[in-house]
Amino acid sequence: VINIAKSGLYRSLVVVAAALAACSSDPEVIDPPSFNRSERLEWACFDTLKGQPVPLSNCQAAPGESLPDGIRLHVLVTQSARGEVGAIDIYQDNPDDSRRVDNDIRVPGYTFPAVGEIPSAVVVPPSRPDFTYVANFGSHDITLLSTSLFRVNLLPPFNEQFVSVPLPEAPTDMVLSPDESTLFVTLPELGAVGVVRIADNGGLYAPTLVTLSQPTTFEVSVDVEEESFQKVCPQDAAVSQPDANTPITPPRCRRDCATATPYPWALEIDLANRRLLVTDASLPVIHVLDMDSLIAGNAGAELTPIAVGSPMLDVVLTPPVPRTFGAECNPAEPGPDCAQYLYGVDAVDGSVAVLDYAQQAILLVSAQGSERSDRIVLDAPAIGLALIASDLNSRTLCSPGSEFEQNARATQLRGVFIGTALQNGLVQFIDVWDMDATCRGGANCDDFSREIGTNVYIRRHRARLIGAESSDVGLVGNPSVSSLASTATVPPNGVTDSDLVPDLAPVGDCPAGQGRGFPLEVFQEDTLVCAVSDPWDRTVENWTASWEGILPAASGGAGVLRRDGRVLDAPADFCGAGVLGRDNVVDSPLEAGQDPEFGYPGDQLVIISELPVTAPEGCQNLEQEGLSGETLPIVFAIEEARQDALVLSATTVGAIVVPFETIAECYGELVQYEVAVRDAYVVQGSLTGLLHRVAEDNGRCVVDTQADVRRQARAFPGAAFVNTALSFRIAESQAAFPEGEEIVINFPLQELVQHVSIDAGASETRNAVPGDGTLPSSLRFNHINQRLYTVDSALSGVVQFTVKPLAAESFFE
Amino acid sequence: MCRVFQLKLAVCASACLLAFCSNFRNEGLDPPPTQLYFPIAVALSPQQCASGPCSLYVVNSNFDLRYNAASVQALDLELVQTALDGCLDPPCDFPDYAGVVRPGGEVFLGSYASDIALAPAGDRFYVPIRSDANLTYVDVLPDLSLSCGGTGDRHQCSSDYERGQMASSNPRGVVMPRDPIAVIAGSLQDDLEVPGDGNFIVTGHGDGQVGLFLEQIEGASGAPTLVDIDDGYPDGLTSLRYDTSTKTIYGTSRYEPLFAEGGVAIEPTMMDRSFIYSSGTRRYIGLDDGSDTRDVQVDAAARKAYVVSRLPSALVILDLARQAQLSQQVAVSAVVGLGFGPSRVEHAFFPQIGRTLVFVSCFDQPTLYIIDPQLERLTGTVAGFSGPFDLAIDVQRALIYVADFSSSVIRIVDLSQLMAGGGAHVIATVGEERPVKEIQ
Repeated sequence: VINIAKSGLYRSLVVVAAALAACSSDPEVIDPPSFNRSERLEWACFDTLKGQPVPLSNCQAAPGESLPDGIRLHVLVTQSARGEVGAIDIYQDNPDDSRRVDNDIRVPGYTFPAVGEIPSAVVVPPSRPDFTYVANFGSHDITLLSTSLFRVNLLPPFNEQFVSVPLPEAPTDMVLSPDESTLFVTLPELGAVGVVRIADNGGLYAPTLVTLSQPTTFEVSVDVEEESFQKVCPQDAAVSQPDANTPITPPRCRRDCATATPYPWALEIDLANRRLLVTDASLPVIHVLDMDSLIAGNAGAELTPIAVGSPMLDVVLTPPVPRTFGAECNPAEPGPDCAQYLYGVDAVDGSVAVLDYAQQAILLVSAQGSERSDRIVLDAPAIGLALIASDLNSRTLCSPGSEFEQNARATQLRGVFIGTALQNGLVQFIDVWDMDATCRGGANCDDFSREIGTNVYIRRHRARLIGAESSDVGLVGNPSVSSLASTATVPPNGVTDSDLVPDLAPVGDCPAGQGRGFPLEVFQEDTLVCAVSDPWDRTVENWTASWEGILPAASGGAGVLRRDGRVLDAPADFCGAGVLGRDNVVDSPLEAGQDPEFGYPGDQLVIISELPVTAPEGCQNLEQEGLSGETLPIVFAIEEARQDALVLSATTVGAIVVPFETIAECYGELVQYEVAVRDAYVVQGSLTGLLHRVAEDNGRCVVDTQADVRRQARAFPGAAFVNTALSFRIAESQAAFPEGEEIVINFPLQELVQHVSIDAGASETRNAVPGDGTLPSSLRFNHINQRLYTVDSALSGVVQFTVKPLAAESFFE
Repeated sequence: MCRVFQLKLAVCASACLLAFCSNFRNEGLDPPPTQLYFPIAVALSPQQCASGPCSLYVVNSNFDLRYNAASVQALDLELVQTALDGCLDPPCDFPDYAGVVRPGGEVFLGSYASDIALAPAGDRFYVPIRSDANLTYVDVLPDLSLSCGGTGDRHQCSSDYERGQMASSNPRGVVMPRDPIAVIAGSLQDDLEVPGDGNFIVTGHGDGQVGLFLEQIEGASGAPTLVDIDDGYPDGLTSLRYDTSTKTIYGTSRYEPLFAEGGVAIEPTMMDRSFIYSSGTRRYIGLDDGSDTRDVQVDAAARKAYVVSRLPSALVILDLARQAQLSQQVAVSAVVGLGFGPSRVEHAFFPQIGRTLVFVSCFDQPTLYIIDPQLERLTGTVAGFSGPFDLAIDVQRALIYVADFSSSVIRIVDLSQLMAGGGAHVIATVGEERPVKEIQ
């Protein structure tokens, strides 16, 4: 019913739009809508001269050859809002001729065969493609329609286009067994996998259900690959190594693990072992089912699940690949030199987990101190994965002088890669097996002619990288110091022109994991700034150190000044915001020389409310002008920080000195406030934010000395500052800064390499830019034509990319 | 296509605005009685009748300034239900709109009415007026008829009910900023623990200002009085929502990838010293790029917020519990893609199925989207609109009332089949369709 109504609506819209355009003096070309909230993809091969589907293998052209006349690959795309599946006719030899198929020429715009409501998966059996099967989330059924419908010009009436087989609940995914005899569907609300046999005539039997068991343990097995597949140029470039002793995040469930039950979400097939892998969107496991038992209807199909630490939204299994650089791996007889990996999207935070499939162990992939050592973190949360197995039939490695050498570069995807669709509209890639690795940067890291810059970083289970700069730049760009009056860059010796602007002092040897950031060695000056050098561990962002700057999460508007106890009460989490009072520092078990917070006098409270117009007479003396005409703030020293209260000094500090009681009387009880650091710089990253190790203990804020000492929010003049991203030393100023002065030192971390990315909504004909609202809904690599397809649900488009090199080829919307 | 359509509307409106800009109060044409005319906001009364909420309040914006006033009507939902009971072959048309408006259930107010907020007790509601920047309040009398200072069954609100324009009425000497586009209201006692009757009302303005009105100001006889203005919210403010569990006001912006937070601070002993504040903004990270958000709803029980985004076109689900642990970022839990032009969001818990469902209207691609926030995915769509905008969910009757702005009608969506595992459908249209193309 929804489909009919919508079709009618669209027709009327077209008529209205046409009428409006006709009345205009500047007629506009109207592009009728076609795709609408596209989501999932499938392939079909057609003999277009006969209008009939043919086995998918018919669409596989030999290298350098064209397909026979009329034989063309089609990409089927679910239209989830309208309950349809549309087709794209792919012209392999001339992608510009590829086009959407309009299945009802009587109707303006594009019309596609109807299926059920909210289609969630579509399957065309590769060798018996007469029927297409569509799992429908909204109508709780599987639609069975003739695949030839995708080539007709005039669709039959709505109710004759398909038949459907009901499911007991909403399906989220569906796959076909390798023998094409059975469909498997996930039914999360029932905690079950549905098994639907396909009859010889293509019809469907009623589903049987396999209810998944509650796992007995969520304990994760963790491993570190001692020797992995990697190539790094220059060869002495430091990259961090995962530590097997790193404590990993405890297993997480979508909600409470104690009450969570199986919630099967997505499916993957292990062809070699004939297993069905079922991700769980609630429990931190991947369920494993024996496919033969499932198909035969035997009991005991469920095998021991794999604990993965978090619920997973999507999962892909790689083919066997060489375990290390140079190892020989025959996929037909995979031995110890082969490795196979399972990648999954963590449903909790959108990171990517990698599992050694044979060992069933989660691999640690990042250095200790990283936010997640057991996850690959990309530029944004991942939504879906695609296995890219490019040129895998030949498995021929690039070697010096080989035919592959001239194209070996970061954007040439030859081998095995994991495409990762991200929530920010980009697709990024994870290196698994780059068959051109030997040629990248030259066999001896001596030829960067095909690369950008002079670095090559290839490392299995890490984001694929490409150089960002062709000239020599350091890890950190020129620091600058800004004040209310001016901004000046810091010279290579760190000594600024003015006594009123702080200098940078030599930092000494860089801490472990960090390298010389500024200035470059060519200046022959001492190192002033160090920064993390491992390109996979560093975040490119701007760090600032602001003199007596505010702690960003400690501001509020509903502070209540209580005369009793001299406190400011507020609906706040001062400990979580990193606030420290004098007594909190004294009471924390800190050691001089080891804990940077040792001896800190405590933060200060700044009242930013305007003096009420109803304030008693005499209060107006509190309004005094500062350096640039602004009203000077009212400032108290914080003696003790509690979770939701601050004990303040008896009198204000700074330029205006009055007792607490005077402020309470003049401002009334309610004030707006900020918390600023005192006699120090507050340090924060533009992406990382503020790091600190302040915790709440019995309602009071304390320094958590068990936490990483590099989680520091304050840099003290004259003392070295070291955090997880950079280190520096700000010299003590020659003169006190004037009241109200705003000194900010900027440390811009440089982008030496960047993640290889494509925009899921990009094409030659569509100028995709950041901020245009791309939202990938799925990603899939077609091994038949060796193309990568992205689906953008928000812009309702499908983009076809080549992977050798990586480039947008066609855009369909 | 619909963007073209919308552009033409905007051009038309701008032209009208220019023509009338100095003369919003012209004698002009009186609005015809009980006519839907560009309905822009709807709200259900808390008062309960036999089968559910007694009234649906419909705010008509007078968007093209054809008439000299906007209007609010109170629909008798029991009469609407009776009509629906007689609809045997849906969808049904009920062009006799006047037949379902309560006696005394219509008042006229300034043009460009933009939103509506009900007092929790249901005895009053508040409508921001963009034409001359005031907050008009309307009393709901015990017989559920409407009153705003005029006389007769159908009257124009008096100037006493238009608030925020007098600097002398408050110690800070503030007047209501221009372009009020959103309003929220809450009980001083229940929501802010301030003894006594009365409400607080917060208006949001397109330039990022917010205004605080209070109803306990001495000498104001219980009328809302503007006491403070704050300009710390993002430019392009599009909506406001109040989180009762944390006493936080959230705001969305159409120009910046920011999620605003703030609150109100009440000085119980000197109410006119109370103030409204911004406690900062959080940035959307990892979206492309979150710089145009149009509406937000708070699910206090689940500690989630549902944000309507146009870049990308999606419902962005926020994890408010996790967000409290972050200093400057929005905690995005999921992003569910929608059609073009998502506009308004509402959510409700349905005891019939033990689930919360979220509904988003898409104006440009005229569809109502249904999202299951637990599954974090689309579970249904409803077609049959021209330009759906605001909506109100009637849980007891399993209905949604949708203001179809482009056709000047109210569409009624039946959820009963959805509750039984089926789909949702438009089952009735109330009012006579007046497609935009017919506007002169």
